[in-house]
Amino acid sequence: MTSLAAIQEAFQASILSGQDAVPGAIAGHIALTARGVDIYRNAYRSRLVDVLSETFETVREALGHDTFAAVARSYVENRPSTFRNVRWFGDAFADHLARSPATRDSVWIAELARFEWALTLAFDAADDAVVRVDALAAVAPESWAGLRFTCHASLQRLRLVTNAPALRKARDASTPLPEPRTADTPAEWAIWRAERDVRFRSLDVQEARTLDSLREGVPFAMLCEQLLDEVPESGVAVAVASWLRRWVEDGLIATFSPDGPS
Amino acid sequence: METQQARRALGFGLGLRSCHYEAFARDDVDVDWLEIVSENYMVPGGRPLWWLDRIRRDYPMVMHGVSLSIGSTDPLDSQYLRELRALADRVEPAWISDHLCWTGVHGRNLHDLLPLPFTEEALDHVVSRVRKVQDTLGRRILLENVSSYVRFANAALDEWTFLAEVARRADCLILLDVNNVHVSAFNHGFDPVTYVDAMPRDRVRQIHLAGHDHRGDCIIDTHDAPVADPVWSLYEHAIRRLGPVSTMIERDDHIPPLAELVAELDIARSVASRALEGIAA
Repeated sequence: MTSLAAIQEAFQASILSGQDAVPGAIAGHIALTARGVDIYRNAYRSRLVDVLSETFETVREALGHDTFAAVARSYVENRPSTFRNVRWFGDAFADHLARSPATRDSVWIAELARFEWALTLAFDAADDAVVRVDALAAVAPESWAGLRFTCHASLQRLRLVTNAPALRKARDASTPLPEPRTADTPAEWAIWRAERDVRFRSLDVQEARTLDSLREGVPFAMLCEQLLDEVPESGVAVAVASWLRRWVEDGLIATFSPDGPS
Repeated sequence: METQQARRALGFGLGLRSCHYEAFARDDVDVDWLEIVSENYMVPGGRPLWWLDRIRRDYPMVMHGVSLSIGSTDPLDSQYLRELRALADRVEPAWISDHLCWTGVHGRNLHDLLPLPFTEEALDHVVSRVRKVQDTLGRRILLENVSSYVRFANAALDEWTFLAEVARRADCLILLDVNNVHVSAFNHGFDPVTYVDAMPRDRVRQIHLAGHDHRGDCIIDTHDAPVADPVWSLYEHAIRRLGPVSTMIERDDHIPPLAELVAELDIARSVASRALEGIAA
């Protein structure tokens, strides 16, 4: 008798391979024919393509149904899921688009996928508390130099060379997608969740670099020092403080402490 | 063993779907309880858990998983079980269910409810895993019969005997999906009434109803349409046979406005009540 393990291995291989033939190990053991196996094969592929099309809805709209289905299908064939939760299945889809012959010459497609994946990461990231402006205002002036911060778990940082966020914005507003554009210089973006809503905005280069340093635990005084080559010394603390205020108002800052992380 | 009272406790419910979050939070919906798909809420935070907590205040809930893979020959996923237990601590569900199936082997997940060969080997395997899961979760689970499109010629047992034996030997409970019984009965040519009649009354704790896609030579379990007439008839028979069982409608695609599903649930109420009157008469 064929063991349970052998039947499962052969049945899975038959679904994953997508080929018509039922493997020898189970051929004699399946009563309801290749037609039944086909139902599983087709359901497997269409379910995962559906998952991708829900996760990457703007990519799907931009590519059109047929092109999206073809490239999604090739992802399904090349990268069987190892995730317990199908929510994570699209994690390498952007890389796949960057490599696939059908999409690799259009940088904006993979970048749009990267952007949409970042939105999903922000969507259900952990519910960190956020710092309020009045809490920060109460910090004694002499303590500021040593202040270190942590960011909300939902914060994603991307550097984008295309107008991917504009495409997604149009999709969310149910308006026609703008033409994909590629800029000469990349733009910095922050994506995060405030309360229950996912938000994104562009950052200027210095603001982005300072936010990245802050996220790595660099204290306030050093954040200021890092800018001395670009900003006059008299204005550095004001610049960093004003970014910080905006980040706090945006809900990007989860904690601060005067002595660094405990 | 729970009392008859506990078996009857929940009444008529629906699967909670994200498109209905606001309606459930806003309106006084005539639904006795809700079933959540566990995996949808096994995430770190954000909107799904926020709505879950909010709606949980107003409705009893049960948890229904799709990833336990109780029949797989891969090891049980202890991380998954820990996360499931953590969600159960948050939701405090009336019970936790999953499917009598497997979803993949060798670390792969096909994200489908794949059928088991109904052999003694598979029976032993599933029973020992159900016991481990129940020990880990600290409670009995319900296992649901799945729709299937193949069956295995080396099967020594009927599906209904297999399911009842799993429940008896592992001391677990049963979620009887009446639509799945109908679908598999058509696809494999067995009598659905025989299946229902083989279910142990004291272990069937929940019933699923759903729509399907009849393609002539086979039926596909799609959850994208209203419950079909033959499924209502089989449900009536099931209630006559089993007595009152918590019943819900599953809808996963082409999901209509909530009022439409509540109206369909009213059909379930009247079919069940007719069946119970038949018993009383």
